[in-house]
Amino acid sequence: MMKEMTRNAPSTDRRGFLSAGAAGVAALLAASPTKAADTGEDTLDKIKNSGVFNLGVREAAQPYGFKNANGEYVGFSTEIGKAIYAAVNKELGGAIKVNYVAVTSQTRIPLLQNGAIDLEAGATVMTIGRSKVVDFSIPHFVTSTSLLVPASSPIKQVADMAGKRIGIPQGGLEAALFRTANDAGTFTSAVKTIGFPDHSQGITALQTGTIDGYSTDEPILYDVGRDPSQFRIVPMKMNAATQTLLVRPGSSKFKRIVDQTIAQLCSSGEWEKLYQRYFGDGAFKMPLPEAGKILVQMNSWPA
Amino acid sequence: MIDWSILWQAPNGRTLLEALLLTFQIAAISWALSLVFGIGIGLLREAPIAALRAAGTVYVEIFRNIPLLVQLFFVYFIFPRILPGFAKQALFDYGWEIVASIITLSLYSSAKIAELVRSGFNTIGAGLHMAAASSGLTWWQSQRHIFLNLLLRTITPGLASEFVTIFKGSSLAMAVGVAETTYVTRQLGTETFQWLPVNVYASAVYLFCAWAIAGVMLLVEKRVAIPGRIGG
Repeated sequence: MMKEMTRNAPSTDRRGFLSAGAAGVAALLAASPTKAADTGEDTLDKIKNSGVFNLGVREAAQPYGFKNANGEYVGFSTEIGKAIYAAVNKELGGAIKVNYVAVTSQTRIPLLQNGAIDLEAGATVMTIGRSKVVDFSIPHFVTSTSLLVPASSPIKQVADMAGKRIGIPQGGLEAALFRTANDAGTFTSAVKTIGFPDHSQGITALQTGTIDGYSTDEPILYDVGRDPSQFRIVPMKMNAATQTLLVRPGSSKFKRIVDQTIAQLCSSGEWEKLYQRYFGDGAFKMPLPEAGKILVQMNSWPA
Repeated sequence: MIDWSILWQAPNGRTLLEALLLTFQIAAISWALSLVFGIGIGLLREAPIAALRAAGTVYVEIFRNIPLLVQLFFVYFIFPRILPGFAKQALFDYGWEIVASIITLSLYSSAKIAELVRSGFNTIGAGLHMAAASSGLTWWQSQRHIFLNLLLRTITPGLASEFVTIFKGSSLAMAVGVAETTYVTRQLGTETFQWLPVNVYASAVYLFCAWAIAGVMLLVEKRVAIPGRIGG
């Protein structure tokens, strides 16, 4: 009996495969992003008609967006998203509800395109490639890529990374940064990068000696590397990552409110309070970088 | 908005092709290793010595029942720590991520193939065993000349589906940073935001390769089927 089942398996498997495959591809094509984006409806009108503001937030990207002990969505970018919701609600007469939708770096674009979220407030860096697909708000944050090494590591500066095994997060922009630097001959011998699915695995690899350093967004390194007896941060100063909130293309009315809100947060001093709460004194003890001060000045539009 | 050309633009086309080759390399080596180890362990479980049978059972129960990802992290993080410095460095220079993935896939799949082997033995039946023993063959001679032959032909369909499983399982290597197909397509997706072309490509690659493997194995199966047995 058992043998008979095994023997027949491949042929039924094949038919199952075929139809499942066809259905899968059809579903993917049906979910084609052009559809939602090409309806031409401004996000502001969509929110007005539906009465709901769908705010895309991160669930586990401290300090940008995470769930606190009470299960509430908080974080630096999440708070800015909430301020934008408040502004939109005011603009539309105060009857709009907010609906939080958890997104990841893989789902943020499809969900924005198909209308499941109206604004993504996470930790997204502006790139030329990404600008072809979505619209960016004015930058709401700026960081840079840095390096975390064990306290006893021989790596003291960027040049010492030559030929070393450096962990990076998958799906980030670190891969492109090191690729470009390697191609340009920045290091005497190429840095070998190893991408990990999330930061905790990268840090584990660092602690077990599987990699020589872990490189990512500086605030994250401040968070995981706060114990100076264990870790040391090596500033890399190789890039400036301007972060943005994502908006559906063709929504100039909505985008205007988004940008104005960010500008008001900057000029009113609210932005720096948020910074101190999520990056500074209360949490990461990360001093406001020079680039951050300049960003606030640039975003503080006169009334 | 949807830009399919990102799949073949330089340097993406080359990167994807290299990733596909790596996927095949990991799958093929893991399958070959698990075939050898799986049959070895399967034979252990039928061995005439109780301690050997117990060792085989322990192996199968450990590696078949721990999730693959947990095993992978265990091998990847822990194994280098027990090696002396120079061996560790050599392993890292060679590409520890790929080696760890192959070791893990092989451990897991060999445990499953060992189970296939055991069920194959059960299918062949005890009668043949007694007949072999009564004609004066030793345990090893009867394994070598009678059972292994019949066994391999009996479990071919199971081995085929295990190969497809390993092929798909190779995507797990991305968890330790191996730039195989899943890893590279995800990286491309986050860099360009072109998730549709990228996901269609990844799905198509796994689908067609799994079909191709199943097709080839179906031919093998037809050739080696034991005449007169079910479906043969």
